[in-house]
Amino acid sequence: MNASSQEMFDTNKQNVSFLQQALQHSDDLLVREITRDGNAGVLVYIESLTDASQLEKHVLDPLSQSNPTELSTLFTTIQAKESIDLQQGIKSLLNGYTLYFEDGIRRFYLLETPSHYERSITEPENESIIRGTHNGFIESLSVNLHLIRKQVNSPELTVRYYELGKTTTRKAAVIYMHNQAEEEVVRKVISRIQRITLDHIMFTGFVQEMIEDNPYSLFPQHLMTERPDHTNAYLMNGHVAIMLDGDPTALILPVSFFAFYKTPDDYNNRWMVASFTRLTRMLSFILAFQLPAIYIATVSFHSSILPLKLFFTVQGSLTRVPFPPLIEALLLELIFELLREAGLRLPSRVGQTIGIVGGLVIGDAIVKAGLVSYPMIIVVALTAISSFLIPSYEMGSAVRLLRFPLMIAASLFGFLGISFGLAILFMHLCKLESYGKPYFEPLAPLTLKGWKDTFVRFPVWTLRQKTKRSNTRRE
Amino acid sequence: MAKMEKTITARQLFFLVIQTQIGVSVLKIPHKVNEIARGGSGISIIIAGLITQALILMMWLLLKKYPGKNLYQILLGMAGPIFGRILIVSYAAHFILLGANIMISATDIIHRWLLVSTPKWVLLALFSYLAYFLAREKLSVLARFDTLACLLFIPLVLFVGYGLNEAHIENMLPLLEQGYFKIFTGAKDVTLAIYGFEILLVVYPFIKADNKQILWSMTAANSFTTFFYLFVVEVCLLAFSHDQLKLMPEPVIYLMKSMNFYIFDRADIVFVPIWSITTICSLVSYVYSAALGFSDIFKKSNHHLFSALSVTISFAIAFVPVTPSAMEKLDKIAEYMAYVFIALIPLVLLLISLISLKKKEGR
Amino acid sequence: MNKLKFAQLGMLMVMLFTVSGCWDHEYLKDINLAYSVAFDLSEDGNILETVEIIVPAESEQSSPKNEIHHSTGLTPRNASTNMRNIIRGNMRFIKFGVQMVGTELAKKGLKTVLDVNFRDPSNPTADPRFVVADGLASDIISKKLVGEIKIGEFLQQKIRSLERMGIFYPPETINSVFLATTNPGKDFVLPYLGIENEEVVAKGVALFDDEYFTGTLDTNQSTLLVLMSGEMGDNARMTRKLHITEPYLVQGDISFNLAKKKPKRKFKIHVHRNGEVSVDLHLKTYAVIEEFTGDQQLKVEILPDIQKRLSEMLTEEADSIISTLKQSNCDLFGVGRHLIAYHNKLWQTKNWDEEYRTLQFNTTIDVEIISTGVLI
Repeated sequence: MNASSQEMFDTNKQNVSFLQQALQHSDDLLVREITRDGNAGVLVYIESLTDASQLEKHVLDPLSQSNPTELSTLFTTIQAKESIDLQQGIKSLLNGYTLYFEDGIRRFYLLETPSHYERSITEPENESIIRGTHNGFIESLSVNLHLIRKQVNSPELTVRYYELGKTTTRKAAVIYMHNQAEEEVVRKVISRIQRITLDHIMFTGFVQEMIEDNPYSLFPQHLMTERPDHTNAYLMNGHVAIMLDGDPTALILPVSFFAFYKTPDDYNNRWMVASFTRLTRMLSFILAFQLPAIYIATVSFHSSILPLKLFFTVQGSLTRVPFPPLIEALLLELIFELLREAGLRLPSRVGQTIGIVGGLVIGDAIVKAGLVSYPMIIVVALTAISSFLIPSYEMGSAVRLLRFPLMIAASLFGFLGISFGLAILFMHLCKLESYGKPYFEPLAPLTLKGWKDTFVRFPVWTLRQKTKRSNTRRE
Repeated sequence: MAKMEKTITARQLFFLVIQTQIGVSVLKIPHKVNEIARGGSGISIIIAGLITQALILMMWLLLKKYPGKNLYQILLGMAGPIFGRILIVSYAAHFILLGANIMISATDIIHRWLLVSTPKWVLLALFSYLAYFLAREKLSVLARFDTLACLLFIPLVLFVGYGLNEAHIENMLPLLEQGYFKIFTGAKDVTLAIYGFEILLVVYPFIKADNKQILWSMTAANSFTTFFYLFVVEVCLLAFSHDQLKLMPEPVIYLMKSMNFYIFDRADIVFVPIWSITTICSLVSYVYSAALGFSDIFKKSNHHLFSALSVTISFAIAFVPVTPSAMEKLDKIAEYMAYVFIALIPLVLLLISLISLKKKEGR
Repeated sequence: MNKLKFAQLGMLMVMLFTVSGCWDHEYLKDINLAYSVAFDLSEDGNILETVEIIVPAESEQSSPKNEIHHSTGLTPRNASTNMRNIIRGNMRFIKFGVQMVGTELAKKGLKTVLDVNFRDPSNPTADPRFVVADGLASDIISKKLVGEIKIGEFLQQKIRSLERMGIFYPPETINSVFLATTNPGKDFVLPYLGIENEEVVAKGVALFDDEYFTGTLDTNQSTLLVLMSGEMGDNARMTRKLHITEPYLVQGDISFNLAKKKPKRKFKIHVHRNGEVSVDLHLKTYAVIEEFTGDQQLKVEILPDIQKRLSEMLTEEADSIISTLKQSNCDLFGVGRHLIAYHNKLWQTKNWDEEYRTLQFNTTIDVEIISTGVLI
């Protein structure tokens, strides 16, 4: 749309035809002519976006009242605004408003009558937990904000709305605790959000890619979650959340690498149990991308580190495999990725069948056929399981991708390749910064205080959080 | 240098310095010192540590007089734009040469112990790429990685400490077999291994700490390195007799090899890759220092290209010497250059600054 | 900036794929593992190498088989090279378990067969046991199978069990033997195996001076020797004939175990004013009696007499062990090492090889019976 504002015309007809033209004479744009007190009035609304009963109750009923009143006092039961700008009218129409024009009045009314079709609040499927709140965000920003507000009833909770996109606009909310979040971070987030110049924002992923520091990095730099409790926990710790209207995902930032390994369950378990599970998850990070590389390096370079008995066992099962270990591994990883992707899009019942076919039938047959060895199957299976242990789906995928370069390095230089590959990886992680915060925080730079809630979880009373900004100072 | 923001803390300085100090030489040092000082090797190391401490103090005194400036800027200020630049170039050359030296020794060891038939240039290229990958970043990233890499000292110390199982106190006695003079000469060789503290000259303005803290963490770093070397050397002396050490150019690896763990055999195969990471850390520090020197000369704020340049030159130098005698020569050159650049020039600068300061006061 | 990044990535990729010659690649399934190896002196003075090679099994279910091959060469390396001409595939020593040396070669010194095995980075050194064979070592390896077990595995299990029995202890590996040969002040002993009645048996220990095989002790003596050198296996079982008349008559064969409690060892080296050196070795051992074949009951009253008698017998045996050690010039206890460390000036003046033979050892062994087990 080129003109940013358009003053309304004198007659209803002109106004309506302008609107119809602007909306391409779409068939669901309804124009209803009524007479009020002898004045000709026109209601314009998009049928598919408005709630018929609301229209009936809050708009048509008052309008058809017999006793004449001033227009401005008529719409008391719903939100009503006055405007003379037709462009604004169009915007409002697209958001489910009803416009009311009346001859002789040089302004029109914007009446809020949008229809709401909302999913019920359920627990997000890929972030289910054992204990704790079982609700999740849905596709409505106001409901999501409601969920957050209900848990954080503090005056410090700040919400800032922004309109994103040029052709279709989406409402985005930047949410933070005023006394906890660092000013610098909030400033950066807002300026980046305002600089987004995409025509339309379809997914939260768009926002993420537009505002992250290192788009060339494999690692996700925003935590994506659909859990209100998870979001709240981060808000309370001074992080900032970004939510789009119509998307149940909250982007949390700035986050460190280790945030992707935490779940709300950690805080509901007893702290020793939670520490143990967290350490298991850290181990899974190591296993998930190193195990195939270590295996490849061992069988193709350093077989001498195998204990003798294992040496013979592995050698025995390798004898019939015709491929070099790298090819063997890649083959199996490919099969695994195929199965995973196939199972992902299918309904869960069929998905299970895929699992059985893949795991049992192919797994057994491929060894019997002599294409792949048993140890390799074990290695790849362990890797796969480990990569699913990571609570964040994005991080899990990133880590799964990481094994391929490492496998190649291992097949070229053995253990040295692995250690150099890891060095590059960790150099990269050290380099990453998220809104000025080091990404690999309690490890690099090394802050031992941060370890209390990273690799293990200390009892809650030791994790006391200091307020970063005094709440007396306001913007 | 336009990028004058202070970027590392005193603690990060500590890790940066120990990672620069501890590199290739940790594997060779017991062999080298034993050749000269024998049972007194431990004493040699402590003496070397003390000498280093004196040098650190001297550098600190010099830098303290020019707050917010590093050696390059001091040189530019004192020696004039032309002569100062020549000096900076020679400093950069010194750092590049040390880097090349590290690369040569490291690839040599890997070539001998781990990847016997991989061509050397491939290993050199690997080292160069890794060095470039990190050296082009800002100092705080270097410091972060060095801090992280310090976690690798834990397995290193454990591995070496495991060698105490085979320790016999008789192996290292008598302490003073070679006499004091030899022990002092041994200290000279050790000083070469402790190099790396001179990085202070380059990074001084980037440290977010007061002078006292800086001196404190330099001292801590130097003591750590000295005691680490002392530990390694003493373990090797306890585990091997002098005659055995003579036969082993890299006693630490032999020590690893002689261990038997139950989960995996051959600790040396695991040890060498871990150790090569600490080597890369010290290589990176030198490349970074050289690159910073170049960017000071050309008054560029970005040292990205210069670190590529430094790495390439190091690679080229490391690529040339193939014979052991050429390597020896390079070692010697690096050693004498170090005397000039680490001891002599800073001392002269310090004296000049003292005199000029006195003059000012006199007026 | 971004272009540079892609260029970098591209270069890395190109490097990876053009350079991927995989120089040191050595695929596990292509390795023919040499598991035990024997070196002998052939008649013409060359090295005779006998290798047991494990051939990988064809499937997971079947177990690997072994093959025995012989070759000769001027040096061990040379012999191995010749061996590679004989056998198929890639023979590697990366995991071998036992290295044997025949008597004749051992007399000519171990360095020739040790050095290369110790220094080659791909060889293990911490685990492989080093053994001296009575006669030709190749005869033992050539047995190929002992029962169902492959010879290398058999030898390794046998040596380990003998180590646990305390007949040879501590375990002598390539690593420890190499270190011992390069240690001027300390000598070592090695397990000594031989063939008797077609069976591979432990014959005691072989004594070494520097790197040369100079003498042997039998298994009875070696058990005591282990204790005398301050080491201890899991067991140290001995059986002796007991004959006491006064005050009670005790007669019969008695078996006892000296390794159930760590013996107390006092080892002192005295250097006298005149430069004479003497050694005191006192060992207090604790015995658990495991068997007694006599008619008498082992009452508490007669235990002191048994103790006394056993002490006398063991002390006598220890003396004879020491004299054999001295004859063989085997400084197992590291007296020389001690002198180097603490009396360096004195050491410089000594011709230790000569002096050691005449060294004065005062040895006593005390036995205290701490338990009679099931016998009372």
